[in-house]
Amino acid sequence: MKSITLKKLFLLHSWVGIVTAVLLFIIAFSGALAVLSRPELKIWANPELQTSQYVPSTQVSRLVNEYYKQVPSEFGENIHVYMPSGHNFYLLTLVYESHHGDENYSEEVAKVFQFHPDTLALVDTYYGPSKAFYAGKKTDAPTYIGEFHADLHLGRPIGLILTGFLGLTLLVSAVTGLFIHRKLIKELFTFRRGKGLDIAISDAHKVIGIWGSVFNVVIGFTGAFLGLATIILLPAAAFVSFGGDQDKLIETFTAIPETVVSHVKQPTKINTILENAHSRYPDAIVRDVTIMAHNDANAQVYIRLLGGEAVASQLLHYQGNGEFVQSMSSFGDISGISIKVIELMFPLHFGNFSGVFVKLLWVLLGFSTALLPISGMMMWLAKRTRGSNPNLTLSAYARWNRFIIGSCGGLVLASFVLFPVQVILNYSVSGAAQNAYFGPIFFYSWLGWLLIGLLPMHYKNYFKLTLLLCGLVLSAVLPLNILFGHSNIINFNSGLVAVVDASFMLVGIVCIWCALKIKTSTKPYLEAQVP
Amino acid sequence: MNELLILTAMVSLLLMMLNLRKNTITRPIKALFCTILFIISVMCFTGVYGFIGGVICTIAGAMVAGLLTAIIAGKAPQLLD
Repeated sequence: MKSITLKKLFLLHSWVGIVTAVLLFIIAFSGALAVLSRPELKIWANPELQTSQYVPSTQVSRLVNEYYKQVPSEFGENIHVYMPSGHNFYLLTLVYESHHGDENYSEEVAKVFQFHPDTLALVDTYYGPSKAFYAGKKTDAPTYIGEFHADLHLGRPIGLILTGFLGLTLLVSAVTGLFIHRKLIKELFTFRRGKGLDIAISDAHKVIGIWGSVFNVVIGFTGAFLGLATIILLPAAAFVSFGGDQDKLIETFTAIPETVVSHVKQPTKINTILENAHSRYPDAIVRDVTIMAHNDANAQVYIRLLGGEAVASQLLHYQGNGEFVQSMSSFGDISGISIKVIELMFPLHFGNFSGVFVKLLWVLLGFSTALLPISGMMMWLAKRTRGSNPNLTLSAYARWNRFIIGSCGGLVLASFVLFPVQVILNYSVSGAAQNAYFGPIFFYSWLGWLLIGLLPMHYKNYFKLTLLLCGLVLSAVLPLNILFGHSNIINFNSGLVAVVDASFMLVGIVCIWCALKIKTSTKPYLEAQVP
Repeated sequence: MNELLILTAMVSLLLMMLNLRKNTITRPIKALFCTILFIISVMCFTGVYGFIGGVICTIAGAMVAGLLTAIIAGKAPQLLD
């Protein structure tokens, strides 16, 4: 490739990286944590899910029929059963929906019954607009971080557009990085630890960039698709193929169409259907069940499965009498290679197509992606302080470093703070009332730590303090759970909780150990800023 | 059984990376070892996660193994000697 083209690509790589570095770190770090949010960390965060995530199909069938008798007939148009699998609600949730409202509401309205997954005792009920129910559902620390990754809590569409755009910039950075790095194969394993911080950072940037390139391209592309699909791609596709009619496009890609009620009574065999689904895909998890026109001759049942041998999630379609119709994708029974590719995008982005091992791979690669923009930015800054005519003063260099530590380290600290807070909230606040705490605690601790960076302290000391606090906060989870938790490492009520607590402790100790290894600078402030 | 297959696959990938990094063996032998170890890894992962899942896992596993080898073991030019 011509050197002038390489120079242009280098400029593009540098500027895209510099402008989006902090945001890319935020997205990548929260994404790496979010990989484990459902179901592992969600189960850890909800004591109700810790004892059991499985409800026998006979019990599901019994509850659906029992509560169906208690709601007006129009609420049987559409029944959603959300299993307590750690993917949706923390309780077994039955939602009876009337699409055309009732005597009190003109919009879509729902009657909801929520049960404890283990005892099946009725815990909560709801009556009102469907949208309000879904908007007000109980959240927890891992879900909060997962949602932050999706739209930065900026709301939709702004948040989605921003994260989608950042996916594109990651894609651009990964591809241009591969082109401009000419010693790709030669430096496959070059990591010189003992030759100073600048060289180690430069080597780390290259090594992570090369080894993580395929992952970064895939995550960038799928992230851009997930962020921009509903906001830009959907209207564009509707414009091209459906004459601008978005509703028609959605109707085509909706796997669950409206069912015509025949008003001929026929019991819907929920138990038989669930048993059949389990025998067909024994390793898959039932996430939710949708029953259309319950106890009608035209009743249809749809079961959403995750895992098993299929990489993408599947939707099983049954007639109400228990007859299996077909297995299809979440987008419905649409043929063609493009729909297969779209289907694969979700598991490839979330890393949820198999067990915990695959998720751990995604977490490690996700953290390496988070380190890329930061190491790149540090290289860019350090380069500008060197030479006979540096264009960045030492104090400016120190300010930039403190900004990076405050914004990125602050995010790490704010995310970690949510975990001990979750344990305390489980002890002191019940249900959806917990929702009010996560936002303020997360954003104020992040902002507070960023503002501390304004103080004239050496950036190494600031980094050491950040690492130390992160370690202390994570280490606090295990003792807090022993004191307040329903399951912990001593009573071993849940193996998952014990493993998660021990992992938090281990990561915390590593953070503290690394922090203690950093030598504190005792020189006067400005003199000490020399890189 | 699945745990054993996953462990075998990851060990194969790590050995493949260490083999790639080594500069005391000739290129054909290096290529042969790498191919054999990669095939073992694909077979193990395919046995656990199916064909598509297995291939995806092998690629992701190779990336992590390469990254760990580079960060922990380090050291420079290997392939072009």
